[in-house]
Amino acid sequence: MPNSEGELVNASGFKLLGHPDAASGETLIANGFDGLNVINVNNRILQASASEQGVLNVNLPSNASNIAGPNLPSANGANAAFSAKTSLIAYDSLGTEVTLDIYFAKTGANSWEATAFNRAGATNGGFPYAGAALTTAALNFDPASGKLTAASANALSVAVPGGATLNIDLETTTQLATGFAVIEARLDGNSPSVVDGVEIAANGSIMGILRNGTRLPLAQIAIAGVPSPDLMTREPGNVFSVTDLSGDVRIGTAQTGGFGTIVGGALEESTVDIATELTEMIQSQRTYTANSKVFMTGAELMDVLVNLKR
Amino acid sequence: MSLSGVLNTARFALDNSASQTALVARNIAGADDASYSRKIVEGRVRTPDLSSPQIRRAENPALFANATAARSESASADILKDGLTQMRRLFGGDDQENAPSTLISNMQTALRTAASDPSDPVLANRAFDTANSLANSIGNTANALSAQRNDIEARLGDVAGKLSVSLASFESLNGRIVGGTRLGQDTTDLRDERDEVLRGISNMIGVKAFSRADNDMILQTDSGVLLFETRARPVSIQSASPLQTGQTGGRFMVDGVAVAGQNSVMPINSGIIFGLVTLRDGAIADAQTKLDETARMLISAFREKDQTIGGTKPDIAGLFTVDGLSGLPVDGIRVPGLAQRLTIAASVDPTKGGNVNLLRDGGIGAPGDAAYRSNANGLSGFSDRLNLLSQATDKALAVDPNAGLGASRSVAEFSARAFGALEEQRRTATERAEFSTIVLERSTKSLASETGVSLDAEMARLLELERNYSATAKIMSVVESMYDALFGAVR
Repeated sequence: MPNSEGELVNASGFKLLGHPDAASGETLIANGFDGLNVINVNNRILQASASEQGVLNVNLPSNASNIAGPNLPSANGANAAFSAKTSLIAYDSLGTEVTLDIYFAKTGANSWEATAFNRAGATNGGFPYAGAALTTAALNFDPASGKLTAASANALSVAVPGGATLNIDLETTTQLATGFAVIEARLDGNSPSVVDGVEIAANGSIMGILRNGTRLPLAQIAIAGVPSPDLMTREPGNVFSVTDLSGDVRIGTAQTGGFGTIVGGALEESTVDIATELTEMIQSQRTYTANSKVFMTGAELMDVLVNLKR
Repeated sequence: MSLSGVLNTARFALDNSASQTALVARNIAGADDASYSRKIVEGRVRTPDLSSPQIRRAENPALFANATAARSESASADILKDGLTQMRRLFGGDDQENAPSTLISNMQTALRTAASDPSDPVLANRAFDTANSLANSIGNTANALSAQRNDIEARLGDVAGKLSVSLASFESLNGRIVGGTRLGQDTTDLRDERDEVLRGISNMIGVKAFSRADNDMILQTDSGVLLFETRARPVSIQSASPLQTGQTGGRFMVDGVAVAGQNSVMPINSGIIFGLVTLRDGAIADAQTKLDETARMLISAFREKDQTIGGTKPDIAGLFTVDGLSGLPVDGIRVPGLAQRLTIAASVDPTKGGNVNLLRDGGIGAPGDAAYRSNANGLSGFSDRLNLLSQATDKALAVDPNAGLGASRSVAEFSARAFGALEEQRRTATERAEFSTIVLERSTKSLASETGVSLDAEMARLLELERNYSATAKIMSVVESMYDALFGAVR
């Protein structure tokens, strides 16, 4: 659980150490505790990431009428016409939402033009936009299957204003004789949001779950192993420390090199079985009794021996 | 497995039974709620497991989509039916007593009767009255149609507002669902609530929904314009209120694309918005065109000519006219709003100091100008003009082809056909509304049987859980007595 500073601690207040970020490229030192830090879930309080990848899968109506060159959306004229339009929410580097207006215009038989604009520049929600088109691509469809031809453009590469270059995959776009329909639409990236919850995966990576649902890797829990675990010293608070007898520590992460897995939210139970212990206790009680009987018998024998001489 | 392990397992089994019982209670509580869907525990917990049981809800996306589409369809069909019924009421319902065609034939009869005895002032007055009520009725009907159209425009504004509110609440629910799903929380009730909002939206506009990962949802209109994706898209109406007769109504915009109204790029085809726009731009605008044409043709049919031999004075409006009219309206071209202004010339109106006998004598349009008078000598038995007037409504005239009833018709025929067309539209709309209501009922019923709560099934489940619970408790007491036996062995 996190303490007042956002550090993950156990019930006795011991801090959990980890390896800052699995993605950061830092390597663990295999035989020492250097390079491990206290895991803190607060230091990433606000996180935003720019949109970089996306998928847009639509069907374009093959029976739409053609749009003349000067009226195409890419010309950005006041009287621009289009066959279909959709919009997507992207994020710039600071996490600001950028609404991308994406227009599809039929330019001829089996050929279309896809154009993306930044909604912020729209005039009353439409053309003309204040800036030129962010990108435009010519899509060509195979008249036999309605799918994109191999030679056709299959993605929109949008330089999101103030953000990264966003690559919108259009590979699965079709051109069939039915109405326009968005079949799949998703972009990555997120607006600034705080860490809402923490999740621990089987490999020990701690994911911060942001309010908008994005998972961010915060750290990875390090696991230490010793050659002889039974010879470690037991310390209060459910912890063990290394001794000379137990051997040197090996540091690693879960699911690698025989380190096992980590189960989040669970407390290991004692493997002691009451029935076994009681049975063993009865056994040792009997042994004890038997041994004491031996003493008694010995003492009696001594008595007899001592009493011989009168 | 040791005895303490058995106890642990039993504890989890008790937990499991308890949470399933809680779920049965939830289901029973929601049994009467149409928006509630049955909740099911995903995967039984058999061994001490660390994860809490996942709760799933009974869903059937295909049936839900069907019900959504049926709801939109039914909403628009109802709107059309109601609107057309309201229009029909303006024309006097089943007896059509206010329909121009009925009133025209009344007037024709009265004129014919007056022609049989041109000197009788009672008959002349009757003829005047029928003409007056025809002009009034056309004017009133046209005004009522214009009011109905403006009502629709205002209602569209309301619907746009409501749709925005619904989309905003959809957005907040969707955000909570997606966040909750990613945190592993139970979002089934929130999803029920979101479906309820979606139901409301589908009533207003034809909508298609599809799901993404983490129970995220995307909404688009039935024409493919995005309504919701991460964020609600703007919806608005480009309203032009008050709407004049003949003026095009505002277009309904979703995400910057016109989806209803003139020249819409991606037109929707169901929902209240579609119904209202179709009514506004279709049936009502059409009826207005036909009324305007009827009015224009009446003016034209009752025009007065220069009666002098070789006279060159222009034709002027006679019995039927509009205030401030200069010259006759051009033949065969609709004058928007003419019907609303149609009146009887004041010169024949006795209540305005006019002379009813001008009907017999002519020169209504220019009482002071002798050139337009047919009965120059004021003979009381002159019936030629009254005979001509009684035939005027049967004479073919040029019609605006935009009215959809050809290019040449008599006023009587035109108005009868116009009313017939309206009646036909209303009948089709009523049939469609009835049909779509049945489809909606069917699809809601089949959805409810898939996702709704059945009390019988829940009670059966409860009995099962009870049995399960007592069996688990029995195991615990057996383990307890086994321990007792063991401890008894230690003295």
